[in-house]
Amino acid sequence: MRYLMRRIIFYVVAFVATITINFFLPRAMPGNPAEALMSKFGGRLNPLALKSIEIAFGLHEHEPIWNQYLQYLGQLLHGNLGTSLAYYPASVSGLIGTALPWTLFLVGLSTIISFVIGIIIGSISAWRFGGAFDTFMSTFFTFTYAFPYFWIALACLYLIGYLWGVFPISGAYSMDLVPTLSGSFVFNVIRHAILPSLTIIFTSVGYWAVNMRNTTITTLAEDYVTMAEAKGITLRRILLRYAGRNAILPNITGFAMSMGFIVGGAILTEIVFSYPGLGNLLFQAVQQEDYPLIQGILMIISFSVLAANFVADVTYSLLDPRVRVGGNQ
Amino acid sequence: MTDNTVLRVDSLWVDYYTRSGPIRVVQDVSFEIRRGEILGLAGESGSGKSTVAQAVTRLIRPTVGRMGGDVWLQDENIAQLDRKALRHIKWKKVSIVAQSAMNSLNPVLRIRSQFDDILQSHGQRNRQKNFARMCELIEMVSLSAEVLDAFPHQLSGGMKQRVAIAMALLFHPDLVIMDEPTTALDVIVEREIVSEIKRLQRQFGFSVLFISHDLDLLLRMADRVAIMYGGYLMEIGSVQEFAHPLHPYSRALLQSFPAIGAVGAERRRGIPGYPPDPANPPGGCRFHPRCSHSSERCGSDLPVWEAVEGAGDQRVRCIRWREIPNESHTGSD
Repeated sequence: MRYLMRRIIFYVVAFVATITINFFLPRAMPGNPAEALMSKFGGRLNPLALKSIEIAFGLHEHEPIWNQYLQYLGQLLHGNLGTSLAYYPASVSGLIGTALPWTLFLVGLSTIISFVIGIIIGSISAWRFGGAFDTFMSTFFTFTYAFPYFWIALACLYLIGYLWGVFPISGAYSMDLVPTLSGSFVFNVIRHAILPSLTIIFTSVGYWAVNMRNTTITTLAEDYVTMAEAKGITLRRILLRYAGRNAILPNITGFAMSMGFIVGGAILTEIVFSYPGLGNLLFQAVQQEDYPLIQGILMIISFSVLAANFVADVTYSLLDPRVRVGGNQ
Repeated sequence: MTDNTVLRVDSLWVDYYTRSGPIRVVQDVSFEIRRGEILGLAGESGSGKSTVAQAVTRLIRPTVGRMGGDVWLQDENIAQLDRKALRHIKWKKVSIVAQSAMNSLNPVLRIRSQFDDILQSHGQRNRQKNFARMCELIEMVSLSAEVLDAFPHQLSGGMKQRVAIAMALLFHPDLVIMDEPTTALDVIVEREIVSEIKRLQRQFGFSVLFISHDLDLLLRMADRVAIMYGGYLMEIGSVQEFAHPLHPYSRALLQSFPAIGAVGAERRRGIPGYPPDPANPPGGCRFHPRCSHSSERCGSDLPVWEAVEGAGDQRVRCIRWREIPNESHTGSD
């Protein structure tokens, strides 16, 4: 428990640092969102309009920065991330709230599937080290991992989506459907997700497989695995509880890191497949210099990275008794 | 083979694969272990003694190396069994206490689960019965039952080694192989563990193949001793017979240990030179480049594993053993 408490304190400090940087960084840049909006209109608005936009956006230029910071923290506590410029008058939290579930669904599920497949193939490769399966898989995965993602995505989009018409080529669901929890809508969503999901899995599964293969090979050389064989323990048990359980430990951290980056990590996928997720939203926000939206998304991304790391720490301490310092001794 | 023999190893060889092809690390190893006997196997690092232990239990992975010869565990030839049949014999008839008990326990499982893994893998699923058996064993090696709920990293080196011994005795095996079980421990704990092993061995009557580089320790605890060098057995005989070893290597090895209670300026002598490189071993007798008695023939003729007539079952691998004047290893020459 002392281990977890220390980690929690670390994450709270890290999160406060993140939101503080998130607050000061845009303010260190010249100009402000209101001026950016004004410049869009090419100076055709009068200074009074600027004033009203500043008020509407909640910009308090005249207040001391310390007060602004406190207000910002107060707004954060209420879940208020400001108002988007590009999608005015939509709120940033509203936009993120709409996009986030799609990203979590598509990228999250793809990452989990990729991790599970990679871990299984990697373990089998390691057990058949040097065999035909291992040789083929290692070569194949080095190949897929080195592939430029956008190329694969575009090729799949063109071949499978456009030429063969097997799967829809854009969006999260057909435009003529109303989102409901009906079977046909869910089926439609899954059909839309398959192509982008396949491209993500195809390019990322190699990473997990190669890593798992390498950690398993190291683990297999450990005395406790040899001894488990000497003890006549069943192969299934050795694979899962002796080799697998120990070999997966280093991969847990990597997996959690990638879970954290899911939120902002699939920009290319979402752009190529016009998927209405957070990556796409971030891309639009950057293109349109929508500072409040960029700021909001970056905060969500950093928050998820921290949260994922925390989950990794907890999982790790559950899987590896050696890090439960001062635990149940 | 007589009923009295627990293990009979016949013409065992082992190759390890390397980049430049397979190299032979164990060659023509033949010996027997009788019921209730402790056979000590001594040799320098790299002499192949641990490889013998692994070959006897078929722990050499097919990706790492290959083995040949016969390993008879009573009426079953371990070297020929298929993996499935082998798994059922393992631990029931032969168990191992490994070189480094530190690393021979799974770091993420409680001791209790590790006992359970063995018991359940061999079809014993009665939880209560299993737990009772664990407690019995753990108390047998002078530990308290609380140890069962600990993780390996919470135990000291000596405790881990006791746990490993308790595990080895789980199914009352005929043979327990102990591969340097005390090497990682300090001398006081080593003494405790060795007397523990002796006590349990007398109580249950299992046979032990005790592997160690410490010949002095072996001569104190074993019934018979075998000496290994460069992948070959050089000499085997009872502890009494080792008072007057026949092979020049055995003599040199004994002279490199200080005699306990020796008075005055008795000089220990090391063996000049280095152990042979298994990738490029010397021809003839593996020991001849370092042997003070070597002749020209030693470099060309491979000595056979020769029974010493008149002696019990003392054997020696040296073409000149008859010509070399016999002497006690404690005397001077």
